[in-house]
Amino acid sequence: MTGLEIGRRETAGGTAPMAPLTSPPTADEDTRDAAAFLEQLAEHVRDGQENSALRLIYHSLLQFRRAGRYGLCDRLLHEVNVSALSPVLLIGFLTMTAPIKDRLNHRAACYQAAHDAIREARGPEAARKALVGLE
Amino acid sequence: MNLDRVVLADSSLDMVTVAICRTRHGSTHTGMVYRDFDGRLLLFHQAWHHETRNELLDEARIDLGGPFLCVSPDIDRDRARNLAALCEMIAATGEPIAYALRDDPEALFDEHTGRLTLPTGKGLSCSTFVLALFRSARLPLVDTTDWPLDRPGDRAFQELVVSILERTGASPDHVAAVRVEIGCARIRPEEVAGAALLSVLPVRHPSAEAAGQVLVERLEEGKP
Repeated sequence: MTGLEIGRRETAGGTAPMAPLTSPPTADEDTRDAAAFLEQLAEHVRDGQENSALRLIYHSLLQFRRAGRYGLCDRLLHEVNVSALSPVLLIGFLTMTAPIKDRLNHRAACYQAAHDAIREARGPEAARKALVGLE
Repeated sequence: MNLDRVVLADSSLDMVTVAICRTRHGSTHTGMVYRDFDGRLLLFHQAWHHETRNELLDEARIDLGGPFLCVSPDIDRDRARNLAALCEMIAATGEPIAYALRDDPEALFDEHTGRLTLPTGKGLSCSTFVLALFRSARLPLVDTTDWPLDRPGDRAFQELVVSILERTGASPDHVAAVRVEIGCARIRPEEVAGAALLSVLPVRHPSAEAAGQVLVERLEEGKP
């Protein structure tokens, strides 16, 4: 499965992009798509494929946003293993969710966890510079 | 101002730089140079009305024709990689953006579609295109508050742009809307690239103008 396939829904004619949905996604669909996304992300990270991981974050989160799947975005922020991700990937999550942050209950906690992780690795000034504007 | 950040447009470029060049027509031009996920260097720029181009840097340089420099902004390296990823994502929409003179300080690439939203503007110039990219990455490069109006040469340039828009087939409605903007603050391409020389962002007018002047001199000399 590619990043672009994540979150596609099966239709009579094959697969189709998620957006626009004709009905709101169910919690089960969010659970399924979050698990698929995070599994693929973990696989890229495990394989040292950081570019592929970053591409997955950008392409998939754009799709989720286009489809209005804020619940799914919020779930990803809640469930992502911050300590396993490099700063560039954490910044990717925060960049792609910044425009919809008012709709995401778990983003502030994710931001704080990312800030703490980068500060721990690189110091407070580097953490500030890496995350400026992404609060 | 750190002039070590001015570099030639070659294969050793960082993930993201702000380009400044003089075109074969004699005007200055700016755009964003970034590395895509495959490592290629591309120039993403507002070339003209409905000509928003994302092209290989080497080819773009030949096409533009004049001396070409890049400025590496003083941003975190991982943040720069994300700015490059954002450029690639926005470029993938293939949206042809209209050309206009006036800066819309709220111009952003939309949260849902990656396409441009202009709450009060009619389009983007090469300069305001770069500003909108930085703004969309939550890294505002320039603060245009109190930007001076009608500096020497600005009005003549704006009138020239409108006449070329008219000659080259822009719709009469669009030409009329852009004509109304003549006299607005003009953020010059070298001022956008010049802002990237400074460490404290966003940069305001006097500093950006001074930095832009330095870049114009470097362009004339044809070296960083």
